[in-house]
Amino acid sequence: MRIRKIPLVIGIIALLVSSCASLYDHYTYTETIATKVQTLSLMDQSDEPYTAHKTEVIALQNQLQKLLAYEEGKAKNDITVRMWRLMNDDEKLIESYLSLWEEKGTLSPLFIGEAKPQIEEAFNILIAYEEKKDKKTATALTDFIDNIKK
Amino acid sequence: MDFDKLIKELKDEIVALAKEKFDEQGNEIVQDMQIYLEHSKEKLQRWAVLFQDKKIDKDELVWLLKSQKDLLLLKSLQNLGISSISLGHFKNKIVDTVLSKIVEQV
Repeated sequence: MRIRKIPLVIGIIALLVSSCASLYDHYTYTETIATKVQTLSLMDQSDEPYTAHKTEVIALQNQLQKLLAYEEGKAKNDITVRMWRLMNDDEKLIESYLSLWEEKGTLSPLFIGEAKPQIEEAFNILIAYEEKKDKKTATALTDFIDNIKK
Repeated sequence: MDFDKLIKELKDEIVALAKEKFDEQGNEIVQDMQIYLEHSKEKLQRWAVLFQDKKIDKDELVWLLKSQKDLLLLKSLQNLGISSISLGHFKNKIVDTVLSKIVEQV
């Protein structure tokens, strides 16, 4: 009796979960924080010649693209994907800052001081949004599946 | 610099975005964003003074203004998403109830 009901239970859970918004993802959360630190650290060095930091710039761009690709791979994740597309947009926030740095060669400490809180706030919005996602359901489902396996 | 014009343009973009995504909750989201926009005014005015005093150049001023607009877009997306998550939480309560019932039955 118990064995026959398990596929039915899994089917009902799958149906219900498929109707929910995306769940909290700890990888996204920690990687977003790491990328924020990486970006702000690079901005601190943008009063030095761009050419001396080209490798770090490429590493940051790769990291941003990697996170966008990761988020695009998840279902029901439209808002987060749109946020990461904005963070990867050539004409917005980080990419346009890097372009300005490349154009000018170096940026002034005063401008960097004004620009950093802008980028920091952008990342904070992404981090806060991930935190708002549902952790409870993710945990409940894991526990439930573990119980079935026993 | 015409701050009123800039603020109006930003408000129009936010309203369009909110309406596109959430017809019913659009007005509530727009209100939240207008409060956020009021907080932005202080920054916009500080940057204008820095530009007038030639402490930042035109390219830097443009970057700062655009970055604030980008932040407003991100904030709008966040608010839209949170509305969606609230709806998801309601659905999840149903999931919890169904799970409890099924566990009892198995």
